[in-house]
Amino acid sequence: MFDNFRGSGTAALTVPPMDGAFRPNLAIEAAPVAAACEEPDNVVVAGDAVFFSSKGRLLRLAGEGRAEIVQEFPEPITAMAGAADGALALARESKGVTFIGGARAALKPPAVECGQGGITAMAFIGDDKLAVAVGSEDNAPDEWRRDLMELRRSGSVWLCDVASGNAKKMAGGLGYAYGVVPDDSGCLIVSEAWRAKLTRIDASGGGTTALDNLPAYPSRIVRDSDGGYWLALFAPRNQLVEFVLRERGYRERMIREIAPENWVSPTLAPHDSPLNPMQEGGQKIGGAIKPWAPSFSYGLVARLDRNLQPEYSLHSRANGRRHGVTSVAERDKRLFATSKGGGVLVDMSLQ
Amino acid sequence: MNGLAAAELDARPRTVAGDDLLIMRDVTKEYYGVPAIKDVTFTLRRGEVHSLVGENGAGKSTLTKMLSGVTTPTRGAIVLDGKEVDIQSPSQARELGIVMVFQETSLVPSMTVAQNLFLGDEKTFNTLRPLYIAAQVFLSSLNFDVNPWAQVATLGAAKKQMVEIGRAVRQNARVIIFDEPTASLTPEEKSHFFALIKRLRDRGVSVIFISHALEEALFISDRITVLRDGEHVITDEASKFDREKIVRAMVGRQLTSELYSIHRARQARRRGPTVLSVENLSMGKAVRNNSFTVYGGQITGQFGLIGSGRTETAKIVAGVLKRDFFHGGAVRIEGRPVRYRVPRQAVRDGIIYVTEDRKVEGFFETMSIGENLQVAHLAASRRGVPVLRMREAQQLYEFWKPKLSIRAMSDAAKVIELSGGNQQKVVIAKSLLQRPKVVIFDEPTRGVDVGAIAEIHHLINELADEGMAVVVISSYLPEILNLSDRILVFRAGRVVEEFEPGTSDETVMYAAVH
Repeated sequence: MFDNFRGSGTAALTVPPMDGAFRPNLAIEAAPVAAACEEPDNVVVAGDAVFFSSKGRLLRLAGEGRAEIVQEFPEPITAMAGAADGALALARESKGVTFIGGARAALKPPAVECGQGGITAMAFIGDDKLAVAVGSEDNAPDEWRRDLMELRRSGSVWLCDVASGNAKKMAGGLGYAYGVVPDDSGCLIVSEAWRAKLTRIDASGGGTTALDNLPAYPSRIVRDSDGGYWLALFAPRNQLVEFVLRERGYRERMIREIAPENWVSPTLAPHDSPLNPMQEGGQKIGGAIKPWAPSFSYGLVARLDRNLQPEYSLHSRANGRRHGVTSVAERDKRLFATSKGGGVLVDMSLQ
Repeated sequence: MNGLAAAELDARPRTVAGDDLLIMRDVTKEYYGVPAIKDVTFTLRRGEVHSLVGENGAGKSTLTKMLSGVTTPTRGAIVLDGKEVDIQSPSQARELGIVMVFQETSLVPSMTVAQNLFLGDEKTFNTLRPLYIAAQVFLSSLNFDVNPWAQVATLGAAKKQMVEIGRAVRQNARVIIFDEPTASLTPEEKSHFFALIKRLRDRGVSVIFISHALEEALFISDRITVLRDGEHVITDEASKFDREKIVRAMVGRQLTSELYSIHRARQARRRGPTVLSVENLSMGKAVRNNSFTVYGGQITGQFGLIGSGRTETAKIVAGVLKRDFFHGGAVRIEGRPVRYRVPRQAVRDGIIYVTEDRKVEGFFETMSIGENLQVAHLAASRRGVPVLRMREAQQLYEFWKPKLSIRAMSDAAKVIELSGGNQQKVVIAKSLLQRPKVVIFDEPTRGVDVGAIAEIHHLINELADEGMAVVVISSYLPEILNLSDRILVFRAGRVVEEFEPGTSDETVMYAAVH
């Protein structure tokens, strides 16, 4: 009660600093563009190919800045996973999981219960298992902002048997499960966006915090070629949003009366609308124009070591455009990241 | 005497009849039969700036304390204006026109700046407005930006130093002794200070200038005297010295390149786990929404100008200062939010702050080294009744003395009798025996000689190598560039930039200023 009164302890309106491993740079902003399209997302490596999605389209990177359409669906693709044999698992809004390519194409889709929500991330575990993350059972994936503002904690993680289609719920009550990947010990690492942390879920469904206090909301996580991890973080945390999240009356009225794109909430792209007065100011410091208002969007990818501790990170800063990085994939010492807000798939050398 | 030519060693102070205002002839000062100064002859001409340089313990402070009446010589004579004088007290020295500006300020903290300036010289009740107006005019004439209405306790080290200097200038002294006057001044404040010294010289005032910043001594002095181990080594015109020559005379070997080889290729240590995280910390105007992280196994250098909020942030983290009651931000130690009301809680959690103001906050000056160490040990332990045990104090002393190369004239020597560098080593020993997780060194080498600087730097590096999280706050950029594995730059109460080692000093300074 005392903490709530004076804003300290668990009620402190603070966000972790972007320093040390999260020291800002321009790596994402300066990276070459592999493909430009509307809302790129879900970049995965399947076999030797790099696939990604753009709303309902499944695309394959064909090199030299070109991408070719593999398949087109009426519904947006919400999650993808790639297997070593070139097969793809693909989740579409309100349609569940389907397999594309390889022998799995004819298999029964896993029976994952999503409620009103949808699948946000998937990862193959060997040849016969598929880990599935459901962001929220209350809101569809494209309603993620509403899910945050309603303080929902209804995400879940499922372990599916590919051959039989059986699915077992490993954990529920997650704060928007937006990424899942197996670790070396057979546990699942789940990124809980609204809790800004990574949770390790063991075979019995028990969860422990693997990394917390992240400066941004985490999304997809994948293994890298050196045994570590790549973590995409899709929007920055800031004190204003943390404050709004504590103000119930304000949030309810905002949800009721204001269009979602003008909410005080994280976004995937910088605000351009004059209806959003927070972005209209700026000040000149050290010869550079710096935004007056806190940034609601940002581009960030973090490299984590085997123990899930951050080593370094790649950024598109507040004054950049390649924000809202939702997925990342590594192939042949090259890192691909989708800037959903910036409308590009970037290709960064890791040499 | 290594490294010095015989001709240099023979260069005794020149005493020109009629030109010398002050002569100290074959002066010796002994404590407990051990000489701190031995047969030193020192001369000061009218209207000259004379620098005294030497390692800590070389005898500079002892020599000047005899001049200012703090101590008296065991043997030898002091001649002022051709007459032998017996200076028994500071007030007698002041009457003779000799004023000393101390290395650690000697102001009355509960009084205002104006009251301190006119202390002992009040013409009427010292709370009256004319006093403040006179103080304002006087401070403005020195180009010192200090509010005469401010209570001294609320001032930072630099402003306290300005008041101290102002007080000496006000007393129209013939000889002013400055002991490390520039240690806490910003570059801009230093240039004002040097202009002030030149004005004093032009008015015929003789200045004795003690500084470990050798470039300053070379820049401002007419003559330089080097002392080593209580003995006179060399006195000559400043134009005949360079930095290397002074250092050779001071330590008998070449040290400069070992100390601040800022262009030396150095591999930054690998980042360890997050030990300390400061998030959106605020306290008045001093600390404004400040955030940074400190990692284990690394030295995190914190650079900034005076008043940039480095010390205040460190003091809040260590429980010395309280942060804002409302929305003061968060401090996490190994992920756990903490909020301290007193430093003892922080000490028990493993946060140690090695103060920049060691004389006031660092130790009990009238206690011995062992007693000081035992007090720190008691503070860290959870023993029921804190009782000083002489045997334990002696054991602690015997353990830490060789480990940190603490040099004292006797085992029972009080800390106040030690040189600045050795006092600093006592403060560091006190901190380390509390087995910290994170150590914050605030200006660890301020007022410390080059030999002790090397030892303290070595110790700081050792701590980081052992996996400890180390923070070094310094206003001396070469020190930050040389020691740090990462550099955080403070400006206006918060961290504004982070740099890697190897960054040019211009870049770091630009971030600190603009």
